[in-house]
Amino acid sequence: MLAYPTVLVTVNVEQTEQARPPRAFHPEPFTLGHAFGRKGDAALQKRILMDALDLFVHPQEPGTIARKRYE
Amino acid sequence: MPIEMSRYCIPYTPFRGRLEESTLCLVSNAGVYAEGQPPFDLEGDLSLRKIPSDVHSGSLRIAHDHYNHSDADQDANLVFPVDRLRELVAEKKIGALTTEFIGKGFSTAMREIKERVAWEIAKEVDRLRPDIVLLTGG
Repeated sequence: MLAYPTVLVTVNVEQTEQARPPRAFHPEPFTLGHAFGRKGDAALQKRILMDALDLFVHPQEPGTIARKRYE
Repeated sequence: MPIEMSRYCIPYTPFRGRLEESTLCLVSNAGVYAEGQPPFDLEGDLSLRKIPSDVHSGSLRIAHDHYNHSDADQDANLVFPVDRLRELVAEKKIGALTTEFIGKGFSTAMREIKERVAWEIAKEVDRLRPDIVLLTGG
């Protein structure tokens, strides 16, 4: 079996801090049920998605959670 | 119960490719399944659902009692962004999607998840041969 790079989009920061995945992204201020923002807001959903995928290209320290706030 | 899957070391796999040339697999813990598939048991379910990546987002369903998914019931992209991923492929920002994505439901059986289910998911991902994997919860 090969190994695969992963990124987690999380709105459960406390649990993610315990799990320490290799790449994690938290879109603030969103909570459970809204990992990709607001319903019907495709532009915001895509921004969150691209910001999370950017961690593949510009990774942070493994085990930390990248955060970005969206209005 | 604390989750300590990575307490001592972090299983980090580097990415050396380009997103524009990469195939992505989506794996979700949000209780998402496709219409026609059996819903997850709300009390706890360790089974997986293989969801075609060309699924119509309006035919996705959520069986999960531990977060409020009333908005995601109307727009599954909030937890399972299939439409947005397909748009990114069309815009050539990512290369392609695997033929299937993987859905999982709620469970507190952490030992079984760690020792069995995580490996089942890994085998499914391996079968789909992505370059990168996007993980989502609720």
